[in-house]
Amino acid sequence: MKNILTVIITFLMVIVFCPHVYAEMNNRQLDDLKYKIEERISSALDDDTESELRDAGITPTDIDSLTGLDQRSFFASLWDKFTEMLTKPLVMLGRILAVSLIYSAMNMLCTENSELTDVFGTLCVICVVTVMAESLSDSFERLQNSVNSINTFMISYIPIFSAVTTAGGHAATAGVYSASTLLVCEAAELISSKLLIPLLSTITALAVVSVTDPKLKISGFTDALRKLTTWLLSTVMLVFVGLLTIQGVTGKAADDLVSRTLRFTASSFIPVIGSSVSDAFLAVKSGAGVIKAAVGGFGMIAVFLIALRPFMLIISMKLTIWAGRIANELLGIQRTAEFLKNINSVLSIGLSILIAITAAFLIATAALMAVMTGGG
Amino acid sequence: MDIIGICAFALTAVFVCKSVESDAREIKLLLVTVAAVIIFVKAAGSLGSIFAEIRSLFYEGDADPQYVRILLKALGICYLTDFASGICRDSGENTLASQTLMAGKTALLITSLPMLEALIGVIKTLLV
Repeated sequence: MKNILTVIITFLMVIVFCPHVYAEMNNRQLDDLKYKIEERISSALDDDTESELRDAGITPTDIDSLTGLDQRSFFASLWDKFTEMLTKPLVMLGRILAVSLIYSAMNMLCTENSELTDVFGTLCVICVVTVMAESLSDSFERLQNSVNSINTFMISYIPIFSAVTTAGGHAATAGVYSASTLLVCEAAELISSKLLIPLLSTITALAVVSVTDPKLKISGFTDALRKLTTWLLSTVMLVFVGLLTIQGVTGKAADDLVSRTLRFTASSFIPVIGSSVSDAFLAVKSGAGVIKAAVGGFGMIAVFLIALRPFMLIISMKLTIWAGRIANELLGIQRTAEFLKNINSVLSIGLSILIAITAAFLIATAALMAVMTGGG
Repeated sequence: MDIIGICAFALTAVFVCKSVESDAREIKLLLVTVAAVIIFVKAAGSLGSIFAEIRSLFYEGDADPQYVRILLKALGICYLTDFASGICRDSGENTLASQTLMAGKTALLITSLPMLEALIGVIKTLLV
């Protein structure tokens, strides 16, 4: 009797306590995984982006922080940042206008000597160049830093996102994502270190030199280069997105086949608890899917925020340069207007490179998430 | 700026010049020069407020005030050179006018040397 009672009590204890212990262990492992993901991703972010994300309450593993993001306050903070960034370019515009006014005064006072007016005009354009030099080099530097930051973040982020995707049962799709985004990383690294600053600086230097000699016109060259860059980047993006979509769709089909085979094998060949194992597999997949969506969304927001700062700075620079150009054209100062037009083209080239790199990462992540959530 | 007074003064100066006998060319020249200087001095009072506005536009932030000083100095050189060479040409001394112009250009270049140095610095920064 005593033995029977001991067996019954032991059996009951196993029934009552085992699932709790198992669930506790599972939760602890999940928390551990979330902590590690957060730690790894946060360490790859630059300080500004990290603090911005912290302020917005966005974390890499909490999907509610993404879905609960208040768009109104997000746009309000964007607007605040934009107006803050506009201050420096506006000061620059004020100085350009001051120089233009002095040149107009010169035209008004010295009506007889065109030679003197020409020399003074050259002096004014040189003054505009020196006034703009600091803001321009700051923009180029920020552009390069941003591309570098995106690259550093993505190199840490890609393995994490791929691992989470693989854990969710999409190994083939994760492979496609890793291969394509690492290729973009390499391209971004190449552009950042070897192409971006040398290209922009050379065109700017040419524009600066051309202002000292009115016969030397490079506006056609800068315009052509801007168009060429835009077309080239558009073509590369088209090929990249096309390839990624095709590979993603075929990878998804392969993953679905593996998943269905696993579930069928479990429910057919494991006796008694086969269907439970199959359901458990589905539950694990769904759990991993939630983390995957959170990590994917976080990565996209992080890349977007890293690119946003130089984007807003360049847009504000372009706006002020555009206003300066219009003012100079109205005052009839063609040389300064021509110079500002060339600088606008240079900034457009930089902006298109930044947009292309950011869009490549965003589209790759979004396409992968869209393909994976498309059933299965 | 008292534009009516200036216009009246200019017209009076023209009438006085016309009334002076045609052989007194030197007196006419002197009259024109004095009238031009007086008109400039009158107008310069108003130019001061324009330049103050330009200065305030330029000094916003941490701009180097050297640039606007150079530009205003260059403007003054240009105006003076133009004025002097114009008087020389009016009095029929074309060689003197062209020499004054050349001296003005040289003064302009000397004044703008710091700016040219800054330009070379900008190009160097861009290319290095």
